[in-house]
Amino acid sequence: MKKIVQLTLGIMTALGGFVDLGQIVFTMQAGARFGYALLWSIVLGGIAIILYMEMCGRVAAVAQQPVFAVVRTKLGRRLGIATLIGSNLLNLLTCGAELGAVAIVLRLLFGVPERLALVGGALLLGALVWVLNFQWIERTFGLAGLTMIVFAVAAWKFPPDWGAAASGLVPRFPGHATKDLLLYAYFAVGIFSAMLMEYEVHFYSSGAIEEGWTAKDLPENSIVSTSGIVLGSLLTCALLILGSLVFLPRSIFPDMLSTTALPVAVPLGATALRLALVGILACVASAAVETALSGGYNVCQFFGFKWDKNLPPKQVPVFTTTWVAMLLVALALAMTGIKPLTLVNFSIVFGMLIMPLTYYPILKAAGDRELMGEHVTAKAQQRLGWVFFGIIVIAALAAFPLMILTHSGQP
Amino acid sequence: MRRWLVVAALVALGCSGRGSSTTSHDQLESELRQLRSLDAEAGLMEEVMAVRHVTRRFARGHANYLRQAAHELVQKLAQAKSEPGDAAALSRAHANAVRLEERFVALMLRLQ
Repeated sequence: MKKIVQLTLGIMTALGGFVDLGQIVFTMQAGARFGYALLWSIVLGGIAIILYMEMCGRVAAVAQQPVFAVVRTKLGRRLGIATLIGSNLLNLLTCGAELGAVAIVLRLLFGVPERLALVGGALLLGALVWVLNFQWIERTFGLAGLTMIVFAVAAWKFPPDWGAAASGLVPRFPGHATKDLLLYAYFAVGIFSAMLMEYEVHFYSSGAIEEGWTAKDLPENSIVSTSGIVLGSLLTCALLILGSLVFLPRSIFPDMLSTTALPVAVPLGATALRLALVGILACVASAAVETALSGGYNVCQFFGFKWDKNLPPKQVPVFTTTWVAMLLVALALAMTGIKPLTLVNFSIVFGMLIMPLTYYPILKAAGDRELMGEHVTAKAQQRLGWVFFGIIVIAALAAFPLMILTHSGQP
Repeated sequence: MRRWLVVAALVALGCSGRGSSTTSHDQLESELRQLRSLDAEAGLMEEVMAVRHVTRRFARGHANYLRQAAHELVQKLAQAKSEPGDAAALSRAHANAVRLEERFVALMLRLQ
């Protein structure tokens, strides 16, 4: 039973981590524009995040070092501080976008005015995080996020052309027009980036320490990281398939969160639509919580302050002040009226830019025999880690020019 | 160093098209695609509403977001200056965007 409950950390990390506002809209857009042709980028991102999440869980369990302690030791103070500032700015942008998305879904579910839903939603999330301990936070959001399975059921019900879907697992350039190629590359980089958003590994490694993992828990680390990511990846594939089945034939380019729930309503009806909205709400709320808490974890881990979500707030003042401040500043950002999707577009590209600075220290620490002893990364896994790090660097270099050249993916 | 940063920012602005006051042919094509997409989405929405596959609250909320998107497009096209040869297409696009906004307003009124 304990092991089943432990799975919720992986599920919450995956669902809030990469099945968030950006991924939901971005993946449906990719399906609506290129059909199944970008399924391979989900598989590639899934393998990369399983690999790195396992590493950071292992470093946390064996060396008791969360990601930002590793960043400080492996990157040095100056580059470490730059990474900390970049990561927390990214958390802030993402948290603001996710809070905006929470308000949109609350409006669609309950008809609440959006401003009221924004303030009420943010305060409710803050209160939940304040009151619940870490295990209950992950159980609540992880399990609520499972209603996203309705997207997979809807995709199955249509049903997709499985042969065409399988051919989407191999990268193939669509046509020869430069604009198509650039858009295709932009969506490939965007999907890959959204799957590897930094706060996932910050949250996961901090969660491993919150749960008191030790070297004995390494088998659980492999199971939890893999199962959560596989579930998240399958749901992401379902989103892309739905985009391609519902939107592509009608020439619809979905660029609103509310549009992304419609493909569930087409085959399954109003109850399924409600479930889809609850699932989206759980994912975006979970992402808002993860980014706010990650902000607190990052600062405390880097500067060596005490942090623990399971301790009373008074005993961890810096941690508590930082995550509350993250939530409030993100709320203020969302209140300015900037569209959540505009914020999330920037956060995906910005996230890609600073991604190498997060994943390099993890790769180095997990492969450090002095630190990890017998639990050091196996040679084959380390080589694969370097291959994926190369892909991350290439994607990081391409992200910003692609955003400019494609006008943030406008077809 | 600072001069390079300014040049880079200007190049980025130029590439994104925000420094230009006229709407290029490509941009106009992109606005037209957006217009067709919104129009098709209106059709899809009416389709699922007809078979009662959406809740009333969802329909009201989504129709409002669609109306906002159409309204933004109307304003964008009203302010746009076309390249030579695109004037008729721009004016047609604007008229279509206005009709689309009206369609969403009618949809919202039906849902009151």
